[in-house]
Amino acid sequence: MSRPDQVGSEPVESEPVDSDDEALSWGTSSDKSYVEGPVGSRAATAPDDEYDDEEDDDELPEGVLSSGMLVAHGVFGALLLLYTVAWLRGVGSVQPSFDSTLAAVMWRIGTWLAVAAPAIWFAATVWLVPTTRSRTRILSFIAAVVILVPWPFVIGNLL
Amino acid sequence: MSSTTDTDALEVQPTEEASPGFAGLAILFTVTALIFAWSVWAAVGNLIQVPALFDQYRSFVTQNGAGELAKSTPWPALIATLLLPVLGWGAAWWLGRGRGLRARIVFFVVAYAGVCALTVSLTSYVFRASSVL
Repeated sequence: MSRPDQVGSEPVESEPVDSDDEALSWGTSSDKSYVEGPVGSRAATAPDDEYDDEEDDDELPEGVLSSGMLVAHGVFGALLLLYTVAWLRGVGSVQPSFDSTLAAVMWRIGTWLAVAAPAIWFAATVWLVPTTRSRTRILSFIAAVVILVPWPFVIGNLL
Repeated sequence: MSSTTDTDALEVQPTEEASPGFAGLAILFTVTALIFAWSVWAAVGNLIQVPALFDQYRSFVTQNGAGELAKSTPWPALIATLLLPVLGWGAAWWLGRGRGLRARIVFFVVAYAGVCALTVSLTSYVFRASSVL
């Protein structure tokens, strides 16, 4: 179909077009100004049923976190960092007596591991649980928050 | 994305790292068992000595007419410190099934750190529960 301004050699004054409609239209391939754009996304070219079958979920590639999971990592990471600080401040208040050097050394190692436990747990979760298993990661973080409460600090300062 | 069941959610997918051989598993078993056994041994010592200290304290305050200061022995905390290393070791072994040696070591490190944190917490509670230690 030819447009009015392409008929004959004489320019024909075209009918005024609503500027909004023109801005929202890509025109047609018969238009001289039409330029073939880059290949569109599958969403634009594939039939609807195929698109629904293969692309309808929110699955992200391996190694990529959704924004919700990023926020969760930030929140749990900050909480576990606070735990570490609280452990550092509270662990010194527990000083049992020992009847052997080995017992004292093992206790000392245990206290340092207790201080490092939140960081160790967080790092191990990030390393061992794939990003695609968000639920497992969240469960692991929740377990850390529940198990690693710095009770020496809580008992000594908050109770 | 495939749907996950509750059981799946609690388990970590095995990685492609090669599973440790028999020798690796034997060494891992022995070393971690020794380390966790130390915690059990220490807990047994506490289970014997701490109640005796509480008994002495109770006798002392009762004989001096201050029976209201007597504190009961924190048996749940003492027993928990005995069970925690066993549970922690078992959880690390179970969660590490089918995984490589490095991942299994990490599970044991995390488990032992968790056991240490809980043990220190319970010890702190026992200290708080009495003024005799």
